[in-house]
Amino acid sequence: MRRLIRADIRRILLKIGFYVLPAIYLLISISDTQKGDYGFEDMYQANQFTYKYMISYFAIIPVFMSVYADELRSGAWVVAIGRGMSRRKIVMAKFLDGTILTILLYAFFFALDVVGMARHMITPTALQMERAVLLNVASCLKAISFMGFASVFVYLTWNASVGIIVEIIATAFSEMALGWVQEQFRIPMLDMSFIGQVDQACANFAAGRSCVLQFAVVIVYVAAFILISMALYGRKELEL
Amino acid sequence: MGEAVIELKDIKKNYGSHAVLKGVNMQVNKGDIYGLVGRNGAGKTTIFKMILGLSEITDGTVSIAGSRTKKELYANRNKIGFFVGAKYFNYLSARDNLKYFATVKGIPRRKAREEIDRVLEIVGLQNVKKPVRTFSLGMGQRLGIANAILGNPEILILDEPTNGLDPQGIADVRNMVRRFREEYGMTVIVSSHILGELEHTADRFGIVNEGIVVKEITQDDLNEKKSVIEIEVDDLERARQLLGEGGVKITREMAEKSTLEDYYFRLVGGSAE
Repeated sequence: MRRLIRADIRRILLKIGFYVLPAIYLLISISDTQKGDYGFEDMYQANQFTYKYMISYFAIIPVFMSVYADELRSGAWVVAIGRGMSRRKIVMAKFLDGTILTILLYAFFFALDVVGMARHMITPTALQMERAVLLNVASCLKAISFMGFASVFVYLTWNASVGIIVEIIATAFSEMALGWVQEQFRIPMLDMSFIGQVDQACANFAAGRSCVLQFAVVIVYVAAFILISMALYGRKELEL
Repeated sequence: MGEAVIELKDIKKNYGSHAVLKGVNMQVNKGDIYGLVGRNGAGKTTIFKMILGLSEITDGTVSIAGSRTKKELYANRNKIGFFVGAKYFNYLSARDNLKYFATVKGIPRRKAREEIDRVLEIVGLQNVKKPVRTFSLGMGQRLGIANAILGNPEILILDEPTNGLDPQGIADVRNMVRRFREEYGMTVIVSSHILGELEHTADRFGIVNEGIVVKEITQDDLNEKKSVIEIEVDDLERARQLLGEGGVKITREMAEKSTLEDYYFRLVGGSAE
């Protein structure tokens, strides 16, 4: 499995297309023209909006395209299976590929945040820095969870485009939809979802409380997505 | 019978109620070039999918290199290199594609470099640097074959490796297959729906029809049933007369014409050898 992950990460990092959306984000980021009295709180609020509604697309689309779409198009995983690698390991390897790349991209986004602070001469306190890191980590965790959720649809339909569409729609509307259900029917759908659990974990962490339980719930969600994917892929007839 | 490296016993494969394989029995021995022949849809590719674990077997057993358990079967798949259509990432070069597959196959990095050079030279792509998306069909097939032989596997499976190739490409693949056995000691299983293509390459044949291997034959079987002599004469009428006087009965006379392949190579140069 480690061999497959190593090979995948290397071939994805060699793909120019992988860098297009992050490069566009970089351009957006450096074209920021805020002038004058622009402090940490202004920047944090702007980042909250960006992380919630925008940034995930700059990560999930290239990651999903590179991990799943290229793989399906090339048929390369036939080679791994034909060499005796189990399908479960392949599903796990693909998820871990996506996780590693998502973390790399979010680290890049965070580096841009830091550069942004430097450009605006903002010197954050330790607490402010912690909030900035938490915002990035929470968004990254959600992106990874959404990727796990969307990959189920790839294994179900054998079509990476379906997975990308599901991921985009889920990322854009799930919080709003679950929040609406929660409000209308008094069922804590949003709180119980991995989105709510990640937010709760970060809130607990910031308040100095334990966040182990919330992280455990998120891991259970992701594990469930992977197990469903394994079950679907295990029975799949591979076309040559 | 030699040492069996691949053995299929009563393999059945159903897709819903449709039976694609209806009890395939087949044995490939060490050192064979085994030709799997049959028309399109006869079940050749499905047989390969069963061997490689790309499709679940409905019933029956597959044994690779003497494997007796499922664990051994999985482990022994490492001994197989295969070409089942060209599988590659089209944004990478041939070399980068092979680097990817070398890592997946667990070939150590230092050895991988030499190994990639070796296989690229065998298939004639050693000087090609451009991305695979610019490759012709033939170059893609060559890259697929290079991937199959990467790591010098003991067993090589080639599913219709000449599909879509021009005559020179077909001849090159035929020569490569022979070379894989002669120089590298591989056992080769190669399929085709063009019977003439395998006749001079393989030494054992499995004839597949409607989901079963109808018969396994050898080159000796082919030769045995075709004991003919060929003589060249200037005057056919005189030859007939002399044979008749000598008590030799002529049972059949054929007007032999050149094959398209003969014409092609005569016109454009190159050869099938």
